[in-house]
Amino acid sequence: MNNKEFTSELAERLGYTIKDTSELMSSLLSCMTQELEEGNVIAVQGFGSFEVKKKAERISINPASKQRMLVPPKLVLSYRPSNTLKDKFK
Amino acid sequence: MNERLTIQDLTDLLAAKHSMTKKDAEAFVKEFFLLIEQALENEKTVKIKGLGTFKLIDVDSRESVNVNTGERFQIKGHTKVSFSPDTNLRDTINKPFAHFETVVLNENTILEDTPIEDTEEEEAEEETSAQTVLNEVGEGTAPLVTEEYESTDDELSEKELIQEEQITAQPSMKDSIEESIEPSSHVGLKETSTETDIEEKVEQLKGEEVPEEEVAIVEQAPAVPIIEEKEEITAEKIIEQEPVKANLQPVAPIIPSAKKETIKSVNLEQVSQPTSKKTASVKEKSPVPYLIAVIVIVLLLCGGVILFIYYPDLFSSSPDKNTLDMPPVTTQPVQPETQLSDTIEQKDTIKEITPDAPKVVTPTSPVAQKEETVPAKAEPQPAPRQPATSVYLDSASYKITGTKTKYTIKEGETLTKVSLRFYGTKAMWPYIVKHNPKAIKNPNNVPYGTIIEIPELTKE
Repeated sequence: MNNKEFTSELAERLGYTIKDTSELMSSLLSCMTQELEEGNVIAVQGFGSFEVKKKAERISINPASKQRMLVPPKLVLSYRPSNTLKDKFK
Repeated sequence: MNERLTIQDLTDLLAAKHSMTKKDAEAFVKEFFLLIEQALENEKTVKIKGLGTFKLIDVDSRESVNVNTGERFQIKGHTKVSFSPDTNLRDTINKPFAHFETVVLNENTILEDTPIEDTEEEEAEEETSAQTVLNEVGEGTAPLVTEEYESTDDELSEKELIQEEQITAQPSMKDSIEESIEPSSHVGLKETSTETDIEEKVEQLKGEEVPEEEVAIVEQAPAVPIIEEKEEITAEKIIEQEPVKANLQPVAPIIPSAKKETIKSVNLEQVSQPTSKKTASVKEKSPVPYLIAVIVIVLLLCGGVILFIYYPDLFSSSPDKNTLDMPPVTTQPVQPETQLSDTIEQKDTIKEITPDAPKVVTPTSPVAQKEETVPAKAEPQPAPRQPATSVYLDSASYKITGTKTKYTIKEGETLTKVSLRFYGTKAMWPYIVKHNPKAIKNPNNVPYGTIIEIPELTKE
């Protein structure tokens, strides 16, 4: 399901127009992004939690050229599904 | 930071942003996540713009071992939810570290926290470092050894250098000359103190005694000229490039009274020679000792020139007082010597000329004979030694017994010159200062026209 199908489905369920739904979605995601940038954890009941984690720097070797690369540290958004969701798909 | 936000917080933010009721906002958020869940269940992938992609991934069944019991058991295959954030979201999240870039590491860079590094590489690096250390050590030890040779054998090296090169022989010559000169001066002191015995000794020593004759003459010459003469003599010898041994041999016989001391010096030189031969191979390799010898020679020559410039009085003042008897004695020995020796002879005459000269005359005849016997080279050496010892050798061992005369200091004259005029040596000026506490307020600056009393000095 792509973004367009998702938006239309969501609009149909809530009775909103697709335009309004897309606006609400973008504003909701921007809020989430802003909170995540500040380092907060977003935990949604029954769905899972979004968290920003710091990955330490590491050295990786290109297996083909044997080149050693120093990969810098980075911040990564990680999603961890809730137990109920995990059990549901298991 | 690190706050845990729930749906409640999201609904509050969304409601504030869109001026919608919290109830509608909460319903929207809940329906949003519920739709994601249902869509995953139906289609296994959900792509949301601005957030990312949710996927259901199948995990194959696999065997594992119970850590506690060691029993094998089967982990059943299942599906798990994976999430990969959208590129825009990923970049915005990683903004704080966006400036970092992956760097290609050079082979030689070693990091402390590098678990990936191979042990073989480390070992190789260690070996290389050890080898370099060894090389460094080897390089360091070799120069140290050479330095040790050089340091331990300073004197020896000089002498050795003399053997190797006639020109470099100068330092050793100087040493021997100085040594010989010192004993000769002592002899001169003794003789002057016991003036009555001088003639007798001279007769006894006739065979070799050029120095003794000169010692008798020495009476009042200042010590400074002696040094100059020594240097000049060495220079002459250097120029002549005559072998050191030849010079040394004549020196030894010249100073019979000080024979023991000179013999010792000769022995030292002899001892040094064999050692030098042993180390000769090492020294030939290192140019350092040659450079040192050359520098020492240059410095000594410069010192001689400076002394000549600063103390011209010693040479110029005496000629007025020269007596008829003195010149013949000096001239005879001078002629056989080299051109440079002529200047030395003049100095000698100056020293002899000093006011108290009368005693000197007697020894002149033996001097000529002795000089004839001694080779020309040896002659210049004894001449300077004898004048060095003056009547007032030790400035501290005299007592002021009275006033000899009064003297008005002329323009450009210093107390040292006055001392030289009345006592034949510069060293006696402290007695003049001591005897004229009122007239001389600052010994370093005595105005001309000052009338001072010259003290009569008697030996204690």
